[in-house]
Amino acid sequence: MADIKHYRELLKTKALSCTELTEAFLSAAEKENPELNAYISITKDAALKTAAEVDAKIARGEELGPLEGIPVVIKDNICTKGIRTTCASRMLENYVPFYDATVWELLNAQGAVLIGKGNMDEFAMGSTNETSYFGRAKNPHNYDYVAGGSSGGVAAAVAGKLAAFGIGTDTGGSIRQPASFCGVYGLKPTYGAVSRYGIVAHASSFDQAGVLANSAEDTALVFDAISKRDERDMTSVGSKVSSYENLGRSIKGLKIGIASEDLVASDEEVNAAVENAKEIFKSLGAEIVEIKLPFIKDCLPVYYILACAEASSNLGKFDGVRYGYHAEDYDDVWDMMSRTRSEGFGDEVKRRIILGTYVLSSGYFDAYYKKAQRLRASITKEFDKILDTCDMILAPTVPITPLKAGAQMSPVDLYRTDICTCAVNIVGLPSMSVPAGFTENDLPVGVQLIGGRFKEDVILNAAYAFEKATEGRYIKSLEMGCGI
Amino acid sequence: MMWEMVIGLETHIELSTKTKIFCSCTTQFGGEPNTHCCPVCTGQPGSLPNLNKKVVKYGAMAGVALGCHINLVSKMDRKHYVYPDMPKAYQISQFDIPLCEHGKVELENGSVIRVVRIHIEEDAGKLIHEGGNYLVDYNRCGVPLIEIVTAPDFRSVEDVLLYLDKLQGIMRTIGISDCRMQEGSLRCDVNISIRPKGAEAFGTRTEIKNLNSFTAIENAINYEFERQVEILESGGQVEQETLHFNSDTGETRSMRDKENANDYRYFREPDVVTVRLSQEEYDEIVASMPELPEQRLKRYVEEYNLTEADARLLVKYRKVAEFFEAAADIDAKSAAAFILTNIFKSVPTEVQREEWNIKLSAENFRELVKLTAEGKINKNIAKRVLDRMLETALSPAEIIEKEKLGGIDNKEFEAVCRKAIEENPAAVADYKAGKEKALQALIGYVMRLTRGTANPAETTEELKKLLETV
Amino acid sequence: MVSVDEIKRIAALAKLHLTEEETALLAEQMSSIVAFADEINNSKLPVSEEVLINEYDRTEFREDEVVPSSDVSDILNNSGGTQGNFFMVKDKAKAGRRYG
Repeated sequence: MADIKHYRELLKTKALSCTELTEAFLSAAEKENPELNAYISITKDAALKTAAEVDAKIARGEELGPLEGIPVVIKDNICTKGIRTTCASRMLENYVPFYDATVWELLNAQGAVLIGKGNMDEFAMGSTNETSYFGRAKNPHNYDYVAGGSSGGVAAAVAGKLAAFGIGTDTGGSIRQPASFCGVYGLKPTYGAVSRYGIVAHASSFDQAGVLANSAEDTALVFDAISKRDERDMTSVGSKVSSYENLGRSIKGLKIGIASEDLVASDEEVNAAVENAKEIFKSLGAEIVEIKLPFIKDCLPVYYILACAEASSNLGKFDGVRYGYHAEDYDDVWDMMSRTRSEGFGDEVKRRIILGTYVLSSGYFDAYYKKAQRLRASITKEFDKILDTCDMILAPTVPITPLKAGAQMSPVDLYRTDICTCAVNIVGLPSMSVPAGFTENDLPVGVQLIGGRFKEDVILNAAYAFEKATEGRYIKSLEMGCGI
Repeated sequence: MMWEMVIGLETHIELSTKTKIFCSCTTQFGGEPNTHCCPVCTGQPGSLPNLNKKVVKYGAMAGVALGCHINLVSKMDRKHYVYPDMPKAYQISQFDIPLCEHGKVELENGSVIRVVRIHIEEDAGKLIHEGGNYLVDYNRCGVPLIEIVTAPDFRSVEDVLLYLDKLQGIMRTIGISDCRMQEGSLRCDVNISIRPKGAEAFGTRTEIKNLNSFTAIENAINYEFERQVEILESGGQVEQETLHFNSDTGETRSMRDKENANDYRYFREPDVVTVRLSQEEYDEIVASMPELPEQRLKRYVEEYNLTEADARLLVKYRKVAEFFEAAADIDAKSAAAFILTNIFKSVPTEVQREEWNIKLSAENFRELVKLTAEGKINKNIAKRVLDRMLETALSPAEIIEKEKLGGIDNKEFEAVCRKAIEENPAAVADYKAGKEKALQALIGYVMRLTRGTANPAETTEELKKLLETV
Repeated sequence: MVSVDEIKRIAALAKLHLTEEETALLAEQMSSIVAFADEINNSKLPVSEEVLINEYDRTEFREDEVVPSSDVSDILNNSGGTQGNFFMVKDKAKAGRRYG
């Protein structure tokens, strides 16, 4: 529900102070986290300090900004000055950045209260949060199931109301998939809408920071706050349109593309949710357009080749010299670096580094990296053609329902579950997962709304309309959180 | 068998921008280790490169000055290799679309060196191996460099040294770099192979690194040439390898480093957008290109009638040339002589001549040349005044006044000598009778009349000249 | 099929120290992962000649103006070894023993 507005009202009417609100969230987090493991660090001091400042502002009779005093969870691959930022890896277990990521700087300046750093797959590589050095985050709907990944901890915290909203990152689906598994909204913005400065890079031309929240309205509000052009990130352009201001428009005549042949989930419950969502959009006056995405399977190898290539390059800086873990037993400086990396990185990270290095190495570069790059352009052109025929695409977020923990899928089988999400990162389009149903055993199922470039307002508006039409029945209130 | 050396050069030049290529840290030399650093140039997780527009401009200026085609649209690439002084384990450089291509440098000995490409890239930090430890300082990391790659067109040490000298002159004139080997703002790697004279095919080349002076370059080339000749003449094969030059032993040695196969895995740098120079910016660079040393040299020889040797010395340093031109229109030869013979004595080093921090202002120098040209002071006085002006910042008039050097121009000097002759008939008669020593009395007389400011040699000359007509 | 030698070569490039077992295991895993990557050859899409970059309106670059650098103590703060203001890495080390 519109949590942010709700909390802001409470603060405005002085029903409770920011410190009281913050303490309630901190207590809830401290109570649930040992089991849920949504947080790698709970940042009590920082939270209470901000809360005190907000209370001082209230005392002076000053008006609060839209996010002032609102509790937030920030994924632990986003640099927070003076606060440990681990990327859920042994490599950065004790790394304390001396600068803020732009996205956090913006929220901090607006008075958002940092409850803690969200658990994630190590270096954002994974789909279940099980590669985290600090143990997996659990799905708050059912602890036997995974929270998803890589922003699993963030999604779990938001779903469990241990924060009002969260900032995650999405490279191939890492916001949308855990949002779907945990039953919350998850928006991956257009590439370039949000600054990447201070976000530990996974795949530079795919990464985007985005929003997880319990309503379309909250998602839009936060997106507006973070989608600013940043001079420090050459690829950032920001957003020119307010999504929040544009909520509530009629979606009559909105053209929604559905690839009923190509984007089909393997799990029938997911298809049912998409079908259901389609009917609801139709009833609101949207027009359904049949689209063809025959190349969708190509997106998987293209994504993994390019993303792993960039990731292998981005992870080269972790060598024990300037920061992070370093080996204690070595023969010379190069040996130190190699052992540091072997000891500091987990298995999935190593696999992706190997794949990335492989596809860039001489002899393989043309067949893999170069070919994937050119196919990326071809895929982009295809999507641009399709988005000429419709305003947005409705699709499954994940082809499967939430996985049970310890499912031990092979790496490749797990990679294949990115099929619905990774295409979006290849092209750089905005996309969000919207809670749209439940499985037979009460686990959340989300559907994906993919928009045209910089058309977050269109998909957020559609999500908002969907939420209103379904009276929020796809957001489950869990017996968790501070209950405020 | 006559062997010829075939050489190509890769030269790295540090650009004199205020900030680094990808961050706003200062490029100032020196400073305590790691005090000119930030998240970007120390490769902190999450940092991103932010391209300095001046680096693109300076790179293009270098290209224009060397006659290159400038790629108004180019890109940056990641070049991967591991070394403790490389914080990201890759260098952001340019691979297949460099900023500049296809230029050339014509040397004064007639050789023409093709410039294959010039690209922009970032420098690495500094690694010191001391007492069993590696110490790293990242102050230099991120300082902008241009890399100039030539075709293997050099055929002699002379070619190489002339090229480097010319490169220095050009870069300093256009103002993009101090270009000093001793300070590391000019670094040169030599690629050398040999082949029988007259042959067309290239031999196997080796690369020599760690050359810190022109002397080292000369010695390294000569040593390596001989080494390769010896190998080939004894039936062996030259191995393609990277060599390190030891200036103490004068020998090249194979660099046995851990990086054997350097697979750089180049790919386009995703964090830096397409590098663009607008047509307007390019036109502006071309239009405001200062007169390059070669053009200036021609002009000095043709317009001012200087010898090529003198002209070469003057154009070598931009500030010296400008100083010269402030007075050249009055009397170029005299101005040149003053600079090269006198002023250069008190400004002996390369660095000093580049900086040209002399107390003598251009206006005062012009004034001095003018006075001399008009005959108001003789050459000797002029030299003394010049010396004084170099020590103080006074004008010629002030010095002449202060030290009572003045008042004796050439006409007056002639008159004084005549007077000496008139007033010393006995000495004149003695001189005419063959007594050379009698001249001394006349000289002494002139000295007294001029209160010691007359120059003995000039006086002797003048008296002798006048005595002939008596 | 990705061979053990191939893994060794790649690991050397990527500066990863692998034991014999790890190398063998990775060779196995990478074989299926590379086979997955090979699916790129099943694509029926025309291979574009150009490469598209998402960079929109970025044509102006940074001005050459100095901004104060970070505090050296911040720069060194996360490092495992320093000497004065230098980052320091010992030539060699043995866990549990102190050198120098």
